[in-house]
Amino acid sequence: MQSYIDEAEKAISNPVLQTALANLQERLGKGAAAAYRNLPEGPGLRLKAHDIRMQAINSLDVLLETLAERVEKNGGEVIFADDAAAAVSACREIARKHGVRAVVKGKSMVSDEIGLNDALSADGIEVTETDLGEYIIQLAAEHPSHIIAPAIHKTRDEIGTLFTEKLGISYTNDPPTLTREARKSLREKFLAADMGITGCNLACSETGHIALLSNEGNIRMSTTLPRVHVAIMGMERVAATLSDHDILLRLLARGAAGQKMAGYVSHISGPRQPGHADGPDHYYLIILDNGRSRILADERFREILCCIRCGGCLNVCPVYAKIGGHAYGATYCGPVGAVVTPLLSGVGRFSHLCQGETLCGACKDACPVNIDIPRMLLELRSMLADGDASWQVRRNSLLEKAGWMIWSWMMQDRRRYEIGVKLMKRIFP
Amino acid sequence: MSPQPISNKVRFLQQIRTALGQPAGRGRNFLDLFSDSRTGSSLLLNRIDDRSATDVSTLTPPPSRGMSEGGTGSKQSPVDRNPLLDRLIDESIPLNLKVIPVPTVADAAQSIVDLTLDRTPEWSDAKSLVAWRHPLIDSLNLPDRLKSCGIPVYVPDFESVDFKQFRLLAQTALIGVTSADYCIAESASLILKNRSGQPGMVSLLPSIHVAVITEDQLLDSLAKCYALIKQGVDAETEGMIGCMTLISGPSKTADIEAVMVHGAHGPREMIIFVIAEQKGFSNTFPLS
Repeated sequence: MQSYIDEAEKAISNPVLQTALANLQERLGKGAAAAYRNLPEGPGLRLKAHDIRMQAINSLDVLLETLAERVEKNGGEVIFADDAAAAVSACREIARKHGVRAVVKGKSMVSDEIGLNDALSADGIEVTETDLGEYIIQLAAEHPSHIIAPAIHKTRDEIGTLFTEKLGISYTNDPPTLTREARKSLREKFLAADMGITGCNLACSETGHIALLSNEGNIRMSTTLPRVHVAIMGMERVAATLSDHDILLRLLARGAAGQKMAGYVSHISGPRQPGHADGPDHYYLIILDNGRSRILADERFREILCCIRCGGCLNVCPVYAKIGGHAYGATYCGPVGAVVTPLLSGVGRFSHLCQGETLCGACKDACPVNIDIPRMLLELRSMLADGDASWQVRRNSLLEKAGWMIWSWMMQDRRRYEIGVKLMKRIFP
Repeated sequence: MSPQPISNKVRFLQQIRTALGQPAGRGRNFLDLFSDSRTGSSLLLNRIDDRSATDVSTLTPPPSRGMSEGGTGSKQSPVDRNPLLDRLIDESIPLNLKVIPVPTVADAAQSIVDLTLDRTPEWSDAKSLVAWRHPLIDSLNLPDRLKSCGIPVYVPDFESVDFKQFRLLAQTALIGVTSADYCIAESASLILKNRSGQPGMVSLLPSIHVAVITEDQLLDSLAKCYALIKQGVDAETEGMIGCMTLISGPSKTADIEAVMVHGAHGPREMIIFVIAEQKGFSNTFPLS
């Protein structure tokens, strides 16, 4: 709670960050809205996408079973991981089995959620983030502050200084030059890596493939060049059919960056086929629960599993626009983080997140799959007010609750109300 | 498959069934829940047959302009031009992707030669090309055309080339030349599949990616592309998807103060030559 306030204050008093956040919202927030309007089917496709996602979530057991069968048929291996520790140890095991010394990573929120980098580094493996924003964050030993623009809080001067220190180049703050330096340095990493680790934007049950979006091409590098590819997906990130996949992919690119399609979309169904010159020899898909089945079991919150992590809600949220991503104190920030983080990491511990949002509804309007985030923020607040044994939440304050109960009792009867008003007039003349 | 050492699939799925209030054991199945009739993809397929012409009515108009002025400088009346091609050109402009219609394969080849001579290598001192083994790309006859300039063109043949060796060639090449399965006009996306003789790295490692396609490979939407792939002959042999990539423009990033920079990791420049047998093309192709 205190760190939420401290970090928020720090962000608000940082003029550079405030400008960056305002620009981000101006560019991406408005860009997504325009992109929805330009959909051939019209913006109403978001509502259809919501139904598609809910149906997938309600059939998750069937979809995952089918997905796993298809991946295995294509020569990949599927690992079901109950929690972060299981997923991490599966990755370590795979790395050990294949004698991996260097890993290149595509941007993956789920790998941040499970704390993968530290675990692999502890095994003596060199782990390199390859998305330019993530690379900057890794060099600076910080955490991402936006789902798709992780280094939004860094200025070009800071990045120039950082590159001078870490890459030994002469100082410049010119973005194209800095990008070229990163291009050179990361290319060596791609060519030398034994293993690529990525997330999964969206899997497809019908075909058994996963789709990975990027604009930089780092994900293509990470899945084309190393001997081993490990993809980690939150268990909810699956579409049933290719036609569902089409709709969701187009909405994802629009919600994330106002694009009709991301620069690169890799569809990966398995390891390298005989006679092919590239692609990994071994392909693993790790399907992660880590608290998601608990969300699935609660009908109040099941809807949040529809989220395809485009980060679109961050780009319109008036609270995120001021406090930035770090104040949320967890992997997932912004409106979606205010719902997901408490549910994954403790409703009591992250109680301030749902209380900090405004319920303005901009996030719902910006959501490519029309998730009712404000409704779930209210559910969380109500949980905090009344307590909830199933989520180990204790009532915030009995006194407050009693106060409101008396108020409510007074307001429900005219006589009681008038007596109350008279009483108040006596007390505060 | 090896037995699962860490978690247990059955227990994992059972946990999901419990959360959903489903009875234990495998009750529902995929086909009952998600049949083709629900998705209507078969309906869609019926409408694709003559895809270069008939489905134009379903295209949404481009945001601003009617006729394209992009890239070619050609001034033709709308009836002479394929609307899908116009749409592709319109969509390619904001992506910094060059789409250049050419009347013949020989014109595409000559443009690639001109491009090769004009550009500076990035990862090596000498210029070289890598290209797919593909009927259309073979017909460009690039190795012969570039031989006189002393610029080698490498093609991966399953029989003769060591793949490790080919990767070294690809990572120092100036240009990678590929074709594609389809090209989606709506989002200016090329659809490439990894196949024998057609590795993904050719469109990834060189500094410039050049694709050559024919007009009849244009589709209006991703939905149609997926529907064709699902029903396609390749679905049997290489799996429905295999390793497939959508490419919409050169590599780019805006991670430093939202300044757009091309050439983050992949090609810094991308050109699609569309062989469109129509009248009225000029014979000069602006490449820069």
